[in-house]
Amino acid sequence: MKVIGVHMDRCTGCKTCELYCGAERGSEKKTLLAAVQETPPPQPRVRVEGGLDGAFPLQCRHCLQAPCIDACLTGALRRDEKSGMVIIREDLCIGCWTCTAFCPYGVIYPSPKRKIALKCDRCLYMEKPVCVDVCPTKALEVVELEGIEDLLRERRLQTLNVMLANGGEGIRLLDFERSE
Amino acid sequence: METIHFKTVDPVSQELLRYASRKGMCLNWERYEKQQPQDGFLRLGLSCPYGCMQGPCRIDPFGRGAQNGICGLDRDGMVAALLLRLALKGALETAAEYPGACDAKIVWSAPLASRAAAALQQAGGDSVSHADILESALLLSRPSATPEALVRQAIRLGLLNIGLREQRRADAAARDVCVGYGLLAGEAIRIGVTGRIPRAIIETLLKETAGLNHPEVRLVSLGDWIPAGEEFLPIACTTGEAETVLSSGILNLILAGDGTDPGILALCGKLNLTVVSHAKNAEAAEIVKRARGAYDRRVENTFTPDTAMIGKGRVSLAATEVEAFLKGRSRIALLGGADTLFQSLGHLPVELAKALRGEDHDVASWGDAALWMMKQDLSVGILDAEDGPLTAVRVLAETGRLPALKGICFTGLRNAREFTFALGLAALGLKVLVATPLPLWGSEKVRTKLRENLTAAGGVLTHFDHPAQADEILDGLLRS
Repeated sequence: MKVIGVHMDRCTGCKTCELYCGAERGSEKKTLLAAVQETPPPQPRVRVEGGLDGAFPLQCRHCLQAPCIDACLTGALRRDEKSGMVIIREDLCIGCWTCTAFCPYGVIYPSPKRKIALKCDRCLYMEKPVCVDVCPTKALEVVELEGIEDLLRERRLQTLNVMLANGGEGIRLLDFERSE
Repeated sequence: METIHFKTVDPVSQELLRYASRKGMCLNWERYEKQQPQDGFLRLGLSCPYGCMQGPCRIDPFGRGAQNGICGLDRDGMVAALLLRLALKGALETAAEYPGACDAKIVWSAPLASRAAAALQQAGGDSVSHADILESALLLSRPSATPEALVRQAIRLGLLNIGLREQRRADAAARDVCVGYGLLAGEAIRIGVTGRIPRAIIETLLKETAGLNHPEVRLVSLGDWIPAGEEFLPIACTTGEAETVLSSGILNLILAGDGTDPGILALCGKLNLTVVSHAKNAEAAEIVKRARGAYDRRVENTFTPDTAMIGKGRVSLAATEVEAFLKGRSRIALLGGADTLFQSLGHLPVELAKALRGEDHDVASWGDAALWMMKQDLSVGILDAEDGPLTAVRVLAETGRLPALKGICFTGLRNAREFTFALGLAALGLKVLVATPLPLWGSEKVRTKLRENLTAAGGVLTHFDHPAQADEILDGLLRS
């Protein structure tokens, strides 16, 4: 299963992913300059949150135990068997937005104009998700969940190296705790 | 490189691009691709231009996020301010080129005076002067003015831009110009010239190299229109192709003036190509000596252009010559401007010129667009690259034949000055089309206000929310 991973250290909070997600997935004409002229305004399926300390683009995490699927009254939300993604069938959605209340990340959005709920489907039918494609710092990346261990190992090694470079403060603390 | 035909219509340039790609050279096209997508907020005009140091603020175009800057500025105010800032930059660039011209009130020449008066009446006030530049700077110090006022001020700067050129109008004799890769053919020491070079340096160099043989020494421009004696310096390529030509390794030395792109200088560094900056005051003999040294150390070059690839033209600089060209023509389109990587290089100028001529229109051109038309041997009038369509407009106005002018199209804009120029022409009541998207799509109100103001003066500024296609431009010129 492929998911969108975020390199938090690379995100500058520029919101380019939001703009182009709105244009590509929410508009008819599919270009930014044309999308902003449409009514109702296109809604992006990714949202950048954060402040001075950092920013983070949030979109559907496609939880393996997805509360939104359990909450959906009409069965509009379901898991795509092939990709493993949580997707929404717009023809079945009645716009009750129960799913928006149950989503732990707050990344399912009500669309009052279209009377449905909107969420990221990782641009399932495109070669690459548009947010990943347009990110200017490559903070977003499509990651194979099976290969996530390699990524996490790399991160752990990075953390270790940073600690060692800083005089091994963290390691000493662990040693101290052990001797106590 | 499978999309190479999207980059340029010139087959020789396509071959050179393939060569550069094989050699791993990063040219303007690669940089352009790496820049995609470009900042969406700025493209829409929704990135605040005030520079108050609390920002940068921007506004969510989809209405979900921030709808106001920290100071409370809304989207209309932001887009209008960006429009004014662009116009101010354009006016400043022109004012810098004509020092002293804007000290007093602009006096319009007879044919344009009535149009300017009507336009100024719409834009507030009966005259423009350098005070408008200061007024605009004040308006952009804090966001207190209304979008309407900012749009009007931008239009005034557009008119000032035209007026400044009118103050320094000077008739000069026509000059011949030739363009094309054929200028690089054969055995020669080749000195590429780029940017703004003082005329004296070019004259001295030409004297120094005159009569030199075995091999001869050639000065070629890389897209700039540089006066040289009774002619223009031969132009090897358009500005958009400058790096492509450089990457071929056929040049022996570059003489760089102000305004040379950093990409060109970086490429010269990569190619170990000697660059002489005009600011260093190098002697002509020294420049030639260094070029000869580089020529002696050259390795065999695979780029051997055909000598036949040379287009020729005659640039009408004086009003009388422009008048002679336009005389008796009942349908005229002015079509010119700089190369832009938004479009396949050469595509719009060539296609439009052919289509317009097919529709019984006479075409006059300037800038890179004119070079493309000359390269294709299209019979069109060539206008001064600096003045663009202004001389032709003045001549048509003088002879009462402005209705014959079906429109002015800028196929590309190279700087804010050209944008302000287009704005000024539309303010004078002319139909102007710009093929490059303008950063005004973030506010419908600003676009409407701009359109209303221009329409009241009889003008139109058509711009598109995408790089315009040839048929859209044709529709604008012929049918609307």
